[in-house]
Amino acid sequence: MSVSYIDPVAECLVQAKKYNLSISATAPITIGLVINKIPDCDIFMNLVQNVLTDCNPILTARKYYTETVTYADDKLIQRIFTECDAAICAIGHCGSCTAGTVKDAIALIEKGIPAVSLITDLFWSQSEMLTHSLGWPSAPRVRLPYPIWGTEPETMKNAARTAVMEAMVLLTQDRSSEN
Amino acid sequence: MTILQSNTEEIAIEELHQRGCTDGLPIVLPTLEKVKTMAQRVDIDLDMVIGIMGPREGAASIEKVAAAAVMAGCLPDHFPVLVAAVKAVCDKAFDLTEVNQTTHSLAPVILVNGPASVECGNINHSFGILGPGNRASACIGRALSLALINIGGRHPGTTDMAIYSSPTKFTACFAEDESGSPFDPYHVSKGYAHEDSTVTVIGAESPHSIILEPTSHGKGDAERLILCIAGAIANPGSNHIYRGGGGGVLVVLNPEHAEILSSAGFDRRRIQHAICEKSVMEQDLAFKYYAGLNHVQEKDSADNASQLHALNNPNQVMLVVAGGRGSYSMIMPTWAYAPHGNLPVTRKIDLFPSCPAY
Repeated sequence: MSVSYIDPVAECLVQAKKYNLSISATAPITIGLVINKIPDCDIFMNLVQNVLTDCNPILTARKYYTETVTYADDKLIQRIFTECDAAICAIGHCGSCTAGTVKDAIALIEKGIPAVSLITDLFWSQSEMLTHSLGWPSAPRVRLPYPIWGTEPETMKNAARTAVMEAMVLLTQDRSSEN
Repeated sequence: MTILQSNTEEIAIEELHQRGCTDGLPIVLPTLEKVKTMAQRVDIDLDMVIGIMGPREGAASIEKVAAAAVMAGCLPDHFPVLVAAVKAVCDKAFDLTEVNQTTHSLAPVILVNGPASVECGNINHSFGILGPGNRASACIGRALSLALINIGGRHPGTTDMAIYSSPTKFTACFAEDESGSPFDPYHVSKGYAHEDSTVTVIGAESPHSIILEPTSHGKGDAERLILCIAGAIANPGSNHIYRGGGGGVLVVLNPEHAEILSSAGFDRRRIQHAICEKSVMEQDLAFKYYAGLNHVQEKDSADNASQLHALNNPNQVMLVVAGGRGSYSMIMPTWAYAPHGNLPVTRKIDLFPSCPAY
């Protein structure tokens, strides 16, 4: 005899949206680097800044600091949106900071500027779930090795180069046909 | 409402385990009849959404919360407490997404005050408040945990990144011993009336034990107890010290310890102030542990008043009286990094007295 029961899993009410933002690869643009308080995130993003400007001298990379290991407040998000053409948000290096990094990127995407979050691979599946639950399943993310903090300078530099290369591909990708 | 079918109850329960819908322990199958009976205890439509639970941003409808209650083994009388607890954790100030996803090992702890602690199943306020044996305590806390799994999407290693997690993620619910306390109950200190029922949730670590055996003369016992509690909060592994003074801390005094403090002239406010003031670590010791942190500087030899504070504000101390009588009280520190400070959130419990099922 069959039994019926209520599915205990709730639905997510957030509707999925298509991400189709991009920036020009050749125009002089400003990229905001959103840096959380995870140890060595500042050092790492300094390296990212150097790689960015070395590879593209007409590009400006501006650093912004969240006051926590979690997400940026609304004032900071507004400032970044006002001052920048795109953003790279860092770093997903623990559970809460991964949530914060993804939230920061999505907050900027919702304002209308392309944004990429940098997530270490230990927290990659968590970030995947978050982009879905926040309604932006194709919000761009770059996967970095774990750990970044406490690593040798050369390891960090290599990770920074990877971050920049992949972030710029994602930020400049033409998604207009994806509508 | 999504209704699933299986050939047998055993298979249905196994399917729920396989889907990751349980905490690993046996559950009660949430049949439509059981869910409706549970929900009838509150005067709210089944499809009413009472909160959104992160990280999944799942809709906490009465139906889904009742399903969690059934699965946990709750009785209908437990349900009003659970409804209030869900509302409390869904409050922005609780930072549920961050609390669920941090690598720190914290879990929502539920405190019940007021008549509901008796009317909603005699929630435990005495010996063993965080252990097995009391159905209401065990099931209400567990129901919240199952709601966080199935509505909030909290799954270990994929969305719940707690490195060790904690037994309190299975269940953590107790009542304050209001009649055994020399102080006003916690909810009264937050502005509620004695006759109100409230639930307070705080994301906290597992309990840390504090021992104090009173001396035969009793002199200085109160001050020593304060120092012991404060010292435990300001220990080297504590997030409160590491963070430089953030986060709430749940301090649970057993009634005997509460009497020691009360007899020495301490009221609630004075205890909070004293704990806050004494929860310090000398700067040179902090430097030994934490050299490299921005807020920890090497102590200048001319600087003779340099301390690191675990707490910045007496209001960070959430003081309650509960547990059996004896030599042990406990503290439950918090993560201290949540955007809103890991402070407790209190919500009124509606007992729905006009509800036919009351």
